[in-house]
Amino acid sequence: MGDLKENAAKPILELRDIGKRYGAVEVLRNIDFKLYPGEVHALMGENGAGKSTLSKIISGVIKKSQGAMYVNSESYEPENTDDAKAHGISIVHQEFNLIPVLSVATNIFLGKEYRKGGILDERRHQAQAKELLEQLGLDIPVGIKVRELSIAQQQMVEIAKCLSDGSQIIIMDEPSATLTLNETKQLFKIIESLRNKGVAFIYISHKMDEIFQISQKITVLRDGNEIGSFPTEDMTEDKLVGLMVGRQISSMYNHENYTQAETVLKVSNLKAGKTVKDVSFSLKKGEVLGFGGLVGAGRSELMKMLFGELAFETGEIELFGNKMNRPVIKKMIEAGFIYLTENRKEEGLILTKTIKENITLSVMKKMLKGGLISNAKEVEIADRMVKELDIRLNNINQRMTELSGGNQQKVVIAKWLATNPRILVLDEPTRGIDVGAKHEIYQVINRLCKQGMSIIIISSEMPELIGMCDRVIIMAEGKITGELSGEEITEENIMAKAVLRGYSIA
Amino acid sequence: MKETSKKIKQMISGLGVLWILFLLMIALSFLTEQFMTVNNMLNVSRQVVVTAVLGIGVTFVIITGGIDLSVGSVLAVTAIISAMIVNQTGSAALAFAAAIASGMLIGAAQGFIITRFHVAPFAITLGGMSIFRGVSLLLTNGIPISNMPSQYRWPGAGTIYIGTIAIPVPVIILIFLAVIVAVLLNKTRIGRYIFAIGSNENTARLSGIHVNKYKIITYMISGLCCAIAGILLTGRINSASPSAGDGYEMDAIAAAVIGGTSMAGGEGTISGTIIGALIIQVIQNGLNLMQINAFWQNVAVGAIIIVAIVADGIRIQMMKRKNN
Repeated sequence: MGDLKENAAKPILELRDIGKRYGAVEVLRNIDFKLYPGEVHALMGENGAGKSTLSKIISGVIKKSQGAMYVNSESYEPENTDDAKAHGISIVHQEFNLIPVLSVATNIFLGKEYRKGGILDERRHQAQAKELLEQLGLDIPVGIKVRELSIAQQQMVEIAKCLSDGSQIIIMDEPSATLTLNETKQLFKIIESLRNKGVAFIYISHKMDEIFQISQKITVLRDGNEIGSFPTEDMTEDKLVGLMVGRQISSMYNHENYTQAETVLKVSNLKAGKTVKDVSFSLKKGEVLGFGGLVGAGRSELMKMLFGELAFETGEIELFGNKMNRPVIKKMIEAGFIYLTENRKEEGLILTKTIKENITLSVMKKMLKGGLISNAKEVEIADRMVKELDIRLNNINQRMTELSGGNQQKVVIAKWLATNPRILVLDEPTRGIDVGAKHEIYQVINRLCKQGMSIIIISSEMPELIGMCDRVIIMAEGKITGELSGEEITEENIMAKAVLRGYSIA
Repeated sequence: MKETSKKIKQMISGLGVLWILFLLMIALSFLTEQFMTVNNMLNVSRQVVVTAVLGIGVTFVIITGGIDLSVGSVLAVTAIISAMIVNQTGSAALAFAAAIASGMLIGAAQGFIITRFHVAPFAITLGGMSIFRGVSLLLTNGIPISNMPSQYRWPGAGTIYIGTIAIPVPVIILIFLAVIVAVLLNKTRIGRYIFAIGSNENTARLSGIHVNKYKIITYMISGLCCAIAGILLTGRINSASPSAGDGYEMDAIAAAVIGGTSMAGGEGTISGTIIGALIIQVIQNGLNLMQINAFWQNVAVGAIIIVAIVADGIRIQMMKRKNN
């Protein structure tokens, strides 16, 4: 480790006065940044603060407009991502660059295949891939197709791929967004071991607890400006949030229990093969009921079954006292039961259409006047929802793509609130959303249950379950393994019930 | 300033293909004297009707992300059914009703198979294209039906005089149809749902939209348009031939695509498709008038399709880049 200390004095990557402008719009200005070997350096900021732009400049996706970059004190001007890789810099995206139908080994050596007399040397690929994964402490078979791996395992393969490129600097953009707590722990173990070998990480995440756990230094960006770089040990969560949003957020959740006596939903003995095994639960008026567990525990599937999107074998559903034994999406919406998907972009919105069209899509019937769509009615309802949820936009005829993640999520909520629901199932409601918008969505939830709406939150974020829920049901492998309420809702209690014995991720 | 220049830009891109049509017409009016004559214009407008009507139907299907290759064959089979009925019964009304009913039924059947069994629209309508061509030949023994009564021919061949200007009835029918379907597409729930399905089927389904039902409706609209096109064509040429409409699916799809309908689904306009059909027709007409080898027509139309699709591809790429 002696060498490492000596090197530590010299940054592996240095940025001086980096700026980026698109036409007249300046999205980054005067960024100075130093990354040392063996360091995990967190990049924090709200959406649109410039984190992604900066990481794209470093990884050669886009070019800077001004300033200078140095890798190991030598001038670094990447032409493209390949050039960046040649300088030892890789980026692991939220969406992986793996090809699902190809094997793990083939993916790792994609674009840098070994050949033997013109024929691909599969044996060598497999052997080296195996070695690489073993170095990372992973037990993933190299011959199986990537699509058969869990998301966490895919991410590990992606990291292995970066290492096989000889990367010394790995940029990770929201790596844990789709990981469960356990999988994140595994990821951190790997980061830690690579860090000890001198690999440096630039780590972008919205999850505070992770940042404090894994990083040594934090650089905060706001509106394209660098607010400052701080050692993680000198930072507190409140201070960091304050720096990011530029104002003080008093309390993230502010949740009060508004649970009433009336039962609005009763599910009995719901069964569907291996995904949902004999599940029974009930929901009260005004209650916020959390569903905790690992990814793949069957929580989303269960809710999709209630919503009529997935089929189930047997079981009874009682909605507001009425039996609903073969739910159909349209009927469930009319009955006031709404499922808000975790895949906002793929299943929740039509990105190529306008904000107005997205909000009115599920209430088209109410938009008609003499059989034709009334623009006035559409504008009225869209304006009302935009105001109610404080969606930040220029006008309601903007395309969805022009909005930030947080505002897109608010549009999804707006779309469903327009149907006057009585039960709202929110699947990962704040995934990939910045702190400010998160806070606002929690306050919307509070307002709704105060008005008597019942809410189910499926979440992989512990603080969210602990901060927002009156009661939490925990699922594992399709079964309900426990129920917690009030003070019992703690990270330890949830994890204890979420992980079945003998379960490991890799 | 910026706002107005943005608006002008939007207008230009909105009119995109209309400019191509204008430029073509200006060029042709210089290149050949006969082009800009009333007679020739009426000729072009009569000829464009069939492609435009078929194109309108196909536009609906393509907006949902599907495709209908069977339109040429369905045109033939519906035309033959109606011609047989009118020659048997003498009732044009009954014949028209039968054509329209059979066209919509065929569309419903193809749509049902496509949605019920989750199979590729391309494959099913390719099969349909062959089946209905075969049925047309079987029904007629390969011999065209002719000598239809004049009231049957009127929609396809008639003229209405407004003052001294003779306007072809089929052109008026096209305009009527275009207005109705444009309203259907832009101002009704069906239209909105069709765009939603083509843009993002998952979101549409999870929003409570009965995706299959609306997809079937688009194939029925396509079948309806085939029947109308069949009636107009039969009236104009006074013959219902089993080979009628052969290859028309190409022109219909080309009209939609040139007119800005995205093959990826979710985008398309009726006016665009009609302009697309006009462009194809004007090219063919112009090359005819200039006495250029007819084979060049294929090359020219093909080139314009490729240009239109590449332009669409560039547009989508640019949109994606903007979103990043």
